[in-house]
Amino acid sequence: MFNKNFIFGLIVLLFYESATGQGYSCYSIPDSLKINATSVLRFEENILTVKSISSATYKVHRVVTVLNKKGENSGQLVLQYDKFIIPSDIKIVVFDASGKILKKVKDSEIQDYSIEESSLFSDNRVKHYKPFVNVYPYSVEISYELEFKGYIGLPGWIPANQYNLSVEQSTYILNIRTEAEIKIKELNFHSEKSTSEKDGIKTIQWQLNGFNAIDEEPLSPSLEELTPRVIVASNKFFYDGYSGSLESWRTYNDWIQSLNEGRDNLPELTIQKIHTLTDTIKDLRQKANILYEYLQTRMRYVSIQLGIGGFQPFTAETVDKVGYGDCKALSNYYLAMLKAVGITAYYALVIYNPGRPIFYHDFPANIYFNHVIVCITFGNDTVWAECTNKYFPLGYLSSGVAGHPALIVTPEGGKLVTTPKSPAESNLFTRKCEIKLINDGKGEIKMETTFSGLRLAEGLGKYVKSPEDQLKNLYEDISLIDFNIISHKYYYQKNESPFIKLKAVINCNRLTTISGQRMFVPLKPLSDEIYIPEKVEARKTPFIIDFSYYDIDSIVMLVPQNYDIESIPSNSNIKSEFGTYDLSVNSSDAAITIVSKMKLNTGVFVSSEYDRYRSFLSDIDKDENQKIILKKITATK
Amino acid sequence: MVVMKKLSVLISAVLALAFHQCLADGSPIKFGKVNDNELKMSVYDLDSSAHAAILCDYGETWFEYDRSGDKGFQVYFKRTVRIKVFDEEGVNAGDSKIILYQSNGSDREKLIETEGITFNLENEKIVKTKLENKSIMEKEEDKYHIASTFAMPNVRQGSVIDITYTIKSDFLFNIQPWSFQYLIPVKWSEYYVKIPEYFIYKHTLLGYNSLAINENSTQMGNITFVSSERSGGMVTKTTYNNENISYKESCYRLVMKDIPAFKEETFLTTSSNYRSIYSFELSSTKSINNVYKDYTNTWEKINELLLDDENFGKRIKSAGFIRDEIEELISGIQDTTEKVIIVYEFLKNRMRWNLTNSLTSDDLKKPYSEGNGTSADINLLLIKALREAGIDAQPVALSTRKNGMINPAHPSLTDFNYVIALVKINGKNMLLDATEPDAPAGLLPERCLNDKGRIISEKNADWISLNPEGSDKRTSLYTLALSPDGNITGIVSHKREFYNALNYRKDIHSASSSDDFYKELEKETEGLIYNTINLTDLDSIYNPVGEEIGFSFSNGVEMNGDIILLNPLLFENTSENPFKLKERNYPVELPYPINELLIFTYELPPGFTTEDLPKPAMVTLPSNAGKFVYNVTLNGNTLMITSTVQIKKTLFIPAEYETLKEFFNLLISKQSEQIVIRKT
Repeated sequence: MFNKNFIFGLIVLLFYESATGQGYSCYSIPDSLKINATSVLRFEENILTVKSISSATYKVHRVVTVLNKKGENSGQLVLQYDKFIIPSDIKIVVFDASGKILKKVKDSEIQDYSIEESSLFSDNRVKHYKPFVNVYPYSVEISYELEFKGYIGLPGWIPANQYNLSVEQSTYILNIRTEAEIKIKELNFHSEKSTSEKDGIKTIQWQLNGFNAIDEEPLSPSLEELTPRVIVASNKFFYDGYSGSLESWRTYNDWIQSLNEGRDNLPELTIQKIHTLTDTIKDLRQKANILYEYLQTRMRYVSIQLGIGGFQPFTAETVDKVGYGDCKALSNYYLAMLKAVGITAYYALVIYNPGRPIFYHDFPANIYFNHVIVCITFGNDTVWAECTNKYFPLGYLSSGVAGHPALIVTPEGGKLVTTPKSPAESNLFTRKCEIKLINDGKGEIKMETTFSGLRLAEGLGKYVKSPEDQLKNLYEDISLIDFNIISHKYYYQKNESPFIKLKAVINCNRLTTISGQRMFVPLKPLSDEIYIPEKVEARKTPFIIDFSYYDIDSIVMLVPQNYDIESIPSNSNIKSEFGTYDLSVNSSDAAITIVSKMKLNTGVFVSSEYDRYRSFLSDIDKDENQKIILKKITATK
Repeated sequence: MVVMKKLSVLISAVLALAFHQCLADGSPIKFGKVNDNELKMSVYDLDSSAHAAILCDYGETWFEYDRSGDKGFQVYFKRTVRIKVFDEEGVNAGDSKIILYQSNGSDREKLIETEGITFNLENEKIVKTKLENKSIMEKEEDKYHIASTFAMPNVRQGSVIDITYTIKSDFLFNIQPWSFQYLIPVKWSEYYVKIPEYFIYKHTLLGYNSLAINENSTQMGNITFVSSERSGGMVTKTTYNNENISYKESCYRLVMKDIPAFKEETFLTTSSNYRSIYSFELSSTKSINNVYKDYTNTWEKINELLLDDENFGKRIKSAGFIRDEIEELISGIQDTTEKVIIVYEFLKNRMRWNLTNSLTSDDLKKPYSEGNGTSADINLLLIKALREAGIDAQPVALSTRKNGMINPAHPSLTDFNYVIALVKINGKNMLLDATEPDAPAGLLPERCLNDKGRIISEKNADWISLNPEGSDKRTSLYTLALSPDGNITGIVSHKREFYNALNYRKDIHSASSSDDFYKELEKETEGLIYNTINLTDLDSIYNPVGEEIGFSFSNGVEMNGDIILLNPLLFENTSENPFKLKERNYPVELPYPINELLIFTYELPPGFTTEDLPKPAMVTLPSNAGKFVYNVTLNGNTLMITSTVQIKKTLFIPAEYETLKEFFNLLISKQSEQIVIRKT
């Protein structure tokens, strides 16, 4: 009765059943993986096969369970590609909580559109699909293959790549020809990888089993620094017709040099013009400044990134002709001008990042530098130039670049440095006010503010607008109630010690509150609230304060004639490793003088210090929010 | 779908030659001919803050009959624009992105004859830099659009930029709309349109600026057909026949001048309601044989079209598969209201909206079985389900807030982008939208609250108001104790109704859990600690939501020596005026009225009392549009503060802005008056 075929059929049937997704039921997720998690990576197997210095394939297969609405982003397909990456075989299946198939997504339902981000034009595209499911939890299975027809970077492994995503199991397999030079860097990974070799192909496998979700905490290092990661790079590559090497910073330097070779020829007329502008000036720094201003007036920033154009600048001739370029092109153009008058300067790659940059000195790769500036040497001095900004003075670097790793590209193999960053005392914001208090709650304010050091960019942002827009923004910035800006004017001192100054006259109808005999006067009426980052219970990660600054406020308040001072807040001094705060309040018959100085330091602090940091800020906030109480002078006095 | 079909006029011909009239004489601009004044201009006379300005913008639309004979009429759009750059901020004014429409990858609009020149004055000499062809880049944006982009060369302060391009298109349904107004001022903007009598378009002008010139005229156009015949027999002979067809062309010349730059402002549903744009929608065509084909020139016609449409009226009828389930659902229920709610809840809970707005649906079976779909999928299913339950349900077509307002004077099918359901219960109307899980029947989501919608029905076609059925209503009762060190503890009871309840339920449901939701709220307010949280009727969406929260708050006072300065409304006061600017040019459009009542009761610490309580206040907006009432009283040891804010009107015209701003100024300053509490 039970013949061979029957049994075989039975086995096949059983096998088939388990392959249709019953394994993706949500009920088997261990509780520990649900803590702080809004989604769970159930299974992942990504296989990178490096075939040669210009060809590779990458197979992706993963299953993610979305636990609730907040975790929906993990269940999406977001596939970025361009001219050199060809996606194929995209399969997306959606399952319900028990593992039953809800939907098999059709190709036509996957959106495909171009993304420009900050460029006018680029060849970046994205394939995108987001499931819309009624009931949580649900699971999404995604698989696809990418073919690289030339690469400089290769896809690495970062299984827990979102906050609140836990990992059940993730595997990364790297197949390389034994002679290929692939280098690897592991971060936050505590298991052993396995290696094997067969038929001239070396296979390395990493596996992560059971990783708890990371909750986002304010001021924490970026997720990439906290989560298990493998970065992969090829020492030699061939991309868009250009070959290069990432073996060392020296070879990387030489590759960039080769891309830039011969692209700094200027048209004869422009060379003549440059000489006319600078020949009469002896001082080299002044010469460089004149050329910098010439660059700023003649050129504008337009980003066009196509293929190798993502790494190689337009020629100086092209930039001269069209009057625009991106950071690479404009820097190259400025270098060409400096070269024409005999000033030594270099093309410098730098990391632009509003927060702390990620840089592994021991792992040369193309994953760090995303911006280009110019480094000019005058004897022992170096002066940096940001070529994409029309307003900065020569030597000024914004906070996104200051204090960050840079590679100065030189014929002698290049030099890795850190760009300069001004200390807290130099990143100064000052505000001087004279406030005349009036009987009925009104106040007349004369105000002068200055922005300098790394705060200059803040002030410049306000200064460069039309007077009408400047006024509109001032109305939005100032947090008084019912006020009119009578006049305002910005000044810009553009030199080695640059600053922006604002002078304004403001009348406020409701500056103080009158309640019976008393007038309540805010101690710091024009100051913004101090930003205190969110409370965290049992903080796990260290926190980073990246931006140091110094705020000085001096206010003179003129007391109305028929009022006496009833009480003024007392002086205050707060000192901690995070910074200092000094408040002094003095009074005479007619006036109250308030001086506050707040200095915030940079630093990296352990998680247990976080509550103290918040207390430091909230203590300052409390001091700043105090009121001066005036009392009407009664006849009996 | 009705609106996206490509049209062609059917004519049998072998060869056709079309002659079209030369461009009208007197076009206001000649490409490349810039004069000295334009180059020397250093500021825009009507707006000295302008970074750049359009000196002249000239567009022409005309039709040509395709010479090869098989495409019928094609429409051409040519634009020539001259831009002046006044300062560094304006150097990007000439960078262009031209969007071309495509259909299924093969049919597409084509950009031809693109030219650009940048003129600069250098040492009294005019220097010209031409836009090179290779700087013009094209790529596919998405399934329906291609973008052609370029940056103008050599632009700096003082530059004059001339750009011209022509778009050739087979898609006659919507010819190029003309934008008179941009983010920079425009000195002279002219659009010249010539339309053959075979096409009748509806014109719409949006925005607050009026036409300086609006001329109509007619001209004659001409198509010559050449057809050939071969005769058989011993000697073949080919004869050629010329056939000439004359037709009338309607010419429109629309001009606006001295147009100010368009500025974006807050509380506007959509800027496209207010920017000056002139658009055309095809409402009917007639073929050369004079057969008149009506499209959308009246609301009645639109009504008919939709009722008859595969993807609208017929689509509703096709959902009979839902019958059995609905019958089972309502079996035994007699009351109409109950039936409506049961059917509405059933469909709402079964279907998940995929965030796509739509008027029509090309299939209801698959969305129903998969449990998700567009707004039309869901609401057309709802209408069918209601009908199967014996309820007379009608579709209502509307335009969502972000999509712009409907103009009843200009019937246009493409203005609609959404559909909801209307039922009548005991003579009263109820509007239903099943895309919002937390909304009870009759409360429309905010996106639908856009003036009026159109009932699509054989017998009852009409407008229906989309005014909100409820307000943003909340009553909060705080019972608190103040301790001598300034700490405040107590309980608050919130009662949330209508839109306040809907928004609250949406927020709490999008958090990972209720606990998580309150944890986040707690984090947002410094000094606030929640001790107990009790929710009532969170998921009974037909009832108000009740929250009872026990909490303590350490930031409610300022200790000033002997004095405790209390902020009476704690964290509930409105701290900043949303209307700060001196003046406003566009209306303020609130989605729904506001109704907020706050009552705070404080038990003062023993031995303490108040000094000089804030005076009561009552502020009203004209014509009963709103009011603010504030009262502070002391009764023995109990301090009580009540604050009522009601705004009944949702639309305020620019002239009413000043009073609205002042209303809020008074409100804010009253609510922030601190109360002095000191030891007796």
